[in-house]
Amino acid sequence: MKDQDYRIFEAYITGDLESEEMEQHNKKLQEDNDYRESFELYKTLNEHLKSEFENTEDLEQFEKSVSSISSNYFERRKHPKFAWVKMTIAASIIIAIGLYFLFGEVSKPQYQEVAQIPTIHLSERGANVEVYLQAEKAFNQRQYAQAIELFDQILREDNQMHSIRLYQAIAYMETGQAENAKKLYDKIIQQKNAFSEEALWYAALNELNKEDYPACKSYLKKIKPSASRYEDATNLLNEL
Amino acid sequence: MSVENHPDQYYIDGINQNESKVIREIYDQFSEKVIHFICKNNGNESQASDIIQEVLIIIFKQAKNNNLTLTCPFDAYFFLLCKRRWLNELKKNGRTQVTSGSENLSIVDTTFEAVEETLLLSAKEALFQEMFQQLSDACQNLLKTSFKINNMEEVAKKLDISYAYARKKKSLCVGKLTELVRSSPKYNSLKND
Repeated sequence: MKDQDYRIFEAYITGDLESEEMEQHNKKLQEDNDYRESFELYKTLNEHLKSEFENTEDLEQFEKSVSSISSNYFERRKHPKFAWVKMTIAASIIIAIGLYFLFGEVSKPQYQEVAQIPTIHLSERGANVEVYLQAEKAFNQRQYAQAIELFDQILREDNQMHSIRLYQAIAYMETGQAENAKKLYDKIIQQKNAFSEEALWYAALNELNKEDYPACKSYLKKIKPSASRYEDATNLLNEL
Repeated sequence: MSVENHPDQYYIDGINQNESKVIREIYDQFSEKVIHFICKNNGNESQASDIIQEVLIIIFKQAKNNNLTLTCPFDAYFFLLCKRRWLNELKKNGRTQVTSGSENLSIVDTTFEAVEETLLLSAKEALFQEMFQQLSDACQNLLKTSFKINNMEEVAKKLDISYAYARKKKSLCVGKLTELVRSSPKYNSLKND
């Protein structure tokens, strides 16, 4: 194929083909097998690349869910008595509730007890790979102030990186900048993207840290039963 | 002729939407059979765990990229996909299958067809990715940016090149990828499958 043929294929896909060129293109499709095969594959590859790069973040989130559900499942298989552990936890919650009615309020769960800050893995997507690596390292080493600045750089390049926005919000939360964290969480939640459910959970933890229990509960109640955080949310709601 | 969705499309939709409840259900209801089969055929639990995760990712990609529509029971489709992936794995490592195990499910032709189609699409996509890695860094970067931003004027601005050059270069890079795929022997064998 000549470069000109690929220009025609691209113009066809974007709907920019002039009528005379369209006529020639259709004629070649009928007469030239090689041309037709290249054109069909060009279209297929175009579709493939589109889905591949559009769904990168969704795929990462899916892999994370599957990996976590798989670990839980195989752990349960190894320890069939795990159910008893769960029942014991449930029983302690019931006892705690009983104590609450007998002796008044028992202590509320603390942010430090509940919050588990994830280790992040950023696959490079932009032109500046180095910034991604530095941001990942800073976050995982709990150097959150530095991570916040690096996340800012990434978001300036591409403000649609929902995962980066979520990690930046966590970094704000961990450095005591609760209001900045809240703004970011609320933005992710409103956008209803693949990270919204996770953002609801961390937004609730942010409120827990401020000891604003009603606000914390309000976020927790919005977590859907289908979300991976549902069980954690239900447990925390019970404890609150 | 249009084919009606199977009621088990629920599982595909759940995977597509990354619904943890559905993924947990799949593990609870369908993975035991797969683990049993792999453990009976030269494998272990950890390898079964990898195969199940790989197959779920294949289904996720097919659901996202190709609007996968199920025309057979999910149980049989999922098991057969895992089985085929595991047998391929054994073949790759020069080991052979020992026992056929619990495959006497009511697997009918439509399931075989669906599994074949899924595996073929997945193999093609893997080949496309392999060939994409052979493009120059400049081409890879231009294509990644073009498909992510989806507006060539913005792409040109971001990469600091002219709009006309960005468009021309994009067509040449996809063209180069087309040539790489077409000249691959793997593509020709997949095409004839």
